[in-house]
Amino acid sequence: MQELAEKGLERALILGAEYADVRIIENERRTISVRDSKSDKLSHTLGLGFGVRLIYNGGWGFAGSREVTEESVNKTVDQAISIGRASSLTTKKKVELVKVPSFVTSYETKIVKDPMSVPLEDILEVLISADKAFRSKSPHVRSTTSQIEARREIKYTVTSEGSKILQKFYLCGGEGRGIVRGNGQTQKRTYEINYSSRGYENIEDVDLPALASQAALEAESLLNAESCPLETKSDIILDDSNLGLQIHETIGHGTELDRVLGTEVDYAGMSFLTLDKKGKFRYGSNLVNFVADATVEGGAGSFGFDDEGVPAKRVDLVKEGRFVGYQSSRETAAEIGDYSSSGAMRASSPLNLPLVRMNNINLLPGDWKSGEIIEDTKDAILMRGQNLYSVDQMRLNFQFGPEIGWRIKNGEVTEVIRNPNYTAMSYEFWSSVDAIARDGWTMYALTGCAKGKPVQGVVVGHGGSRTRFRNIRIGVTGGT
Amino acid sequence: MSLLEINKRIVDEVIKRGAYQTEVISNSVKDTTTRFTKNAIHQNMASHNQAVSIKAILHEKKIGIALVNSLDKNTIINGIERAMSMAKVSPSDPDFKSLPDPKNVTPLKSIYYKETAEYDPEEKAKSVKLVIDTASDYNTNIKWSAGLFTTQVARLAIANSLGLGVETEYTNASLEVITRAQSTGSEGSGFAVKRVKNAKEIDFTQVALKAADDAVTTMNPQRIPLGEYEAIFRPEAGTLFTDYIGSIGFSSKSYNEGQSPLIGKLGTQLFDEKLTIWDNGRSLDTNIPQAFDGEGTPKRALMLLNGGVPENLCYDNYNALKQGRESTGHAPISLGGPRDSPSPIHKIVDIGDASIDEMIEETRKGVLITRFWYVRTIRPDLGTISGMTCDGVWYIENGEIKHPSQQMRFTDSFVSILQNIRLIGKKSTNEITPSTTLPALKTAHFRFTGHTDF
Repeated sequence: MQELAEKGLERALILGAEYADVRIIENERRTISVRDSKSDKLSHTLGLGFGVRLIYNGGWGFAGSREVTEESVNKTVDQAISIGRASSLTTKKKVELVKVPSFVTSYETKIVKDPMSVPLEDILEVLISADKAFRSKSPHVRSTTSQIEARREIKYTVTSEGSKILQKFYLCGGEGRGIVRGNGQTQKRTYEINYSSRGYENIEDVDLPALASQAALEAESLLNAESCPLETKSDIILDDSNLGLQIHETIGHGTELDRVLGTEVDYAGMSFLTLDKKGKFRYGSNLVNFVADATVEGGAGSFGFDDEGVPAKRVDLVKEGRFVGYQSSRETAAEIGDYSSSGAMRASSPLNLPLVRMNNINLLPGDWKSGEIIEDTKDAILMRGQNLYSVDQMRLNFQFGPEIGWRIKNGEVTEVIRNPNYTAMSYEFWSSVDAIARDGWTMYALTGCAKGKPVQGVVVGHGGSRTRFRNIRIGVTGGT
Repeated sequence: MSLLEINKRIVDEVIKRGAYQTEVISNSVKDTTTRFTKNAIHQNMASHNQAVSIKAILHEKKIGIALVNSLDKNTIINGIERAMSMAKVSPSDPDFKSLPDPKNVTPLKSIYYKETAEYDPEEKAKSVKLVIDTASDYNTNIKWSAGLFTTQVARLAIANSLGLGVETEYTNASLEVITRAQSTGSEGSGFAVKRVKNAKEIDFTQVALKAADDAVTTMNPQRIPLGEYEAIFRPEAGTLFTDYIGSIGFSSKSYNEGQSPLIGKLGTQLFDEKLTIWDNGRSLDTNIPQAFDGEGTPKRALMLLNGGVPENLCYDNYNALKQGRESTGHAPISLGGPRDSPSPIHKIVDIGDASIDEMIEETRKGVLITRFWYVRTIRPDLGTISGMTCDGVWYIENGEIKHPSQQMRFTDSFVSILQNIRLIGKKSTNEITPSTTLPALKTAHFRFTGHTDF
């Protein structure tokens, strides 16, 4: 396989490509899911394919195929050349890439237990136990699902600048949820094992049935809970995967340089963080620090090298509340005069073009103890569980509706609140932060971050800890 | 060897290994995508994907699935073995009754066009350049155009061990254009789209002009107050509500899970009597017609909403047999995946008698909306959703467009919006979205709940 990649690269250069890279990827995925305590999906996916990306006469060309033979590689390279030639018909300036050293090396996710070798019976037992645990605690349950997934990917990347990089990745995680109906309400509660670049130990470290039981109790409590107060302002506290989603939608997507430059306007949108704002714009309070960090051990978005051969790195995005940097590629970095890429280029499959994608976008820990944030709060709502999320094209106005809330009153967690939601402008929201915990910092993950056309879904990580936001608009229902 | 012949051989192999039933779905998809922004192509690609999904079902109703991306014999044998080993450890599914029996499927004509399949890269680049140049020449305020031009050639085959065997090949192409105009620092944005089976039917100039015209007429947008408005939805916008009522309302799965807002309301006058929605996968009036669904069951016309009365839910074979019913031919095509929710993806909304101009004339305080962006569900049982307007909103007062509006966040119930439909357009289109053929719609009540900065 590696030889075919190198032959493809050689052919691209002989045919006149000014730059080329070839990725050959072999991947495997096991998905085990249970619905209503019965098997829903036991599937095993085996994939192989390659993609050729090149610059010809200043224009980009890309072609990919699942047929990994010499004949197919030759044909696909020829196709990429003709596409590059066609692209050059509209280019106003030739593509420029910032420099990157060449690497001949390998990288492998550190794992303890190969998730592909775990007997399926063992995984099913965990899932069915969790599913039954939810049902046993929930007399109003209508449906339950739970899933564990493991992925393995071997990627070989060669570039015309001399890099030859072999990477082997593992990813493992899962989740479950139950839908309950009663008292005129339909509610759901989700429990998760965050996807992580780890082996099956990521599953074994978590007591999934215990999480399911807790989720069921919370779902039941929602059926008789008070509604979120309507159209008012309140302090809110976030401390679970919904915080990860909030980071994802406002900070993660907002700092992608390709959006700023308009290359996603036809699908994923743009960003209000225009070039003039870099280094000047206040995106959060002084407590707020964000990094893009592909080096975090176990992070769902961690890797050794991105798809352009740029080594994993940690870059500042927001420092003490000030917007200071973008997630970038070699081309977008060159376009704004930066000297290096942030190392963000990833494709979801060998048949897709690499795009600027989040790796792990993390909110750095603060100085507070988690418990102190609650004790210090007079009146607020603690909101948990990913549910509704909607953000405008520029990543400014958003509305989130987590699964569950609890009222915090005079330093104590009190009654459950159903259908909580909040809305704000991104920069106002992060500027309202007045407390971030130093403990309980967790790497969350999103498995379906969508971007590009054809749409590519990738897994990304988001680290964070309990955070308090002041005076946020809540309870927006439009009167429904 | 055709995909169907390959599928049949795999079916035989799985049965030989002791399976009770088996289903094999394979596809081959050739895609091209040319993306452009700021008047230049920035991403230009082609890919050839293929997949074979093998479902093995043992006598104890134990089910395993394997998905492979290669037609190579060894890979397929590996896939068969993985599917069998998955099935062996799977718990029984007592709700599984059987795969569908074979039924007569009449192939559809006029769904494959070699003009789409043979559109070459240079021709595509020239077409994109025509879009860019047309928009730029339209008005001196035009800043740039962006968008994408795609073509697809897809082949799909399904076989099962009960003798079912169907295969189809079809093409589609789409052009989406977003054009920005600028005047004294304030931007306008226009959007236009055309989805067709034959790429040669795309009038690139016409699409470019529509996006450019909207871009110019939305310059200098003003902020309008939050609150309730009458709203006129262009088909690009209206499809949001028909898609929601289709996927959440008429899916038998979401209905039985308690998520559908139609629970207990089938057969009642829930919506305005002017609203009639069919689903008919065989209709050539739909954007991507299909002769059969994701299990090989023939597509047929199904009345969803008859004069405002919801009548029928959509079933796949699994959910239908579970309830002693017959599949309505709404199994999604799901390679290697779980059973997705059966839902209508070939909806046709009956036309009314109003033009968009007439809708505007009959509006006291309202908005004309081009399309929506990033809309998500808040409460499925109430139909509550929230999202943003996108690319072209105009404020209307006393029968006239007064000025363009900034983009707005809405939060409202799609049930309530459809209950309050007052006018339906007299001209329908199937070139906007793959899922619905529809005209413009006007509702009496639509709630804006948030502002943004553009």
